[in-house]
Amino acid sequence: MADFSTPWLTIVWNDPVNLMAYVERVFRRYFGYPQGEAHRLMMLVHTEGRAVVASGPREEMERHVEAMHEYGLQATVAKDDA
Amino acid sequence: MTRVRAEGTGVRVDFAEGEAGILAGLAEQLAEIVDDERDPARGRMLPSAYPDDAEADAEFRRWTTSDLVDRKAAAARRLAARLHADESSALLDPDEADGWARTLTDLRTALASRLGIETDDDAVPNTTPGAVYEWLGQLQWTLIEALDELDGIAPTEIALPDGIEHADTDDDDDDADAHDDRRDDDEGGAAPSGGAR
Repeated sequence: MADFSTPWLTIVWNDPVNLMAYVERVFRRYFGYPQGEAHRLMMLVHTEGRAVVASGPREEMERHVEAMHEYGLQATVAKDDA
Repeated sequence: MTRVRAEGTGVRVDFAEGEAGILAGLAEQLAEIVDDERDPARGRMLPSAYPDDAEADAEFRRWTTSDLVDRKAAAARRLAARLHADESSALLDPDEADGWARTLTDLRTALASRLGIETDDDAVPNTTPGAVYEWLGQLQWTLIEALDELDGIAPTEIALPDGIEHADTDDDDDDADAHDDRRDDDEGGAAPSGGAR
């Protein structure tokens, strides 16, 4: 059953194909993050292997993930179990 | 080699002899690959949104795959058509240039699938397809740099010491074993090695 109080996450994963500058640009242009935050998130993907780039309702996260796939990034939807 | 730069409110791409034709051919192949359900490269362009939940994955794919495939194929065909129309030089508006950047990622993803590049530790093979893979990366990188310049983002904020190097898997990490012969200069991505120019 849907639990409306549980936020969902959009996670972007590191991959060997995408250029760092490209990933940073996608975060800035698509999510509207300021340059510094886009850079921080990109570096998280690069160094930690993944980063949570958005949280909220499941349908919204699915739209984000579909958009990330259109940009060619590796992205998944996850439940925030923390 | 093909040159990319910001010009006015757009991005100017001046193609080196023959390179527009190569790129158009690759984009046409890409449009076919994304329509071919049996092609593993297609699968790599359509990763699972729910790797641990087969049911949710299937549901997500039911709602998204067809549209995604159509958009990727259409973008690749638009790129090819533009290249056939403007073989030596093209002035792109920012939206079209961002579209090119997306298609370049899809092209590199398809090539990575063919070349067995699965992780950052996999070297780009010293072959013609490997050189094409690096050339596409260089083209995308200069395109992004020009687009960021239009947005007022200085290249120095983007061109981190290991920026282009990481992306092309050339090593400034500590895995300096396998592919010394492909090692780039240390100039931060001005010219990845490889022979496609």
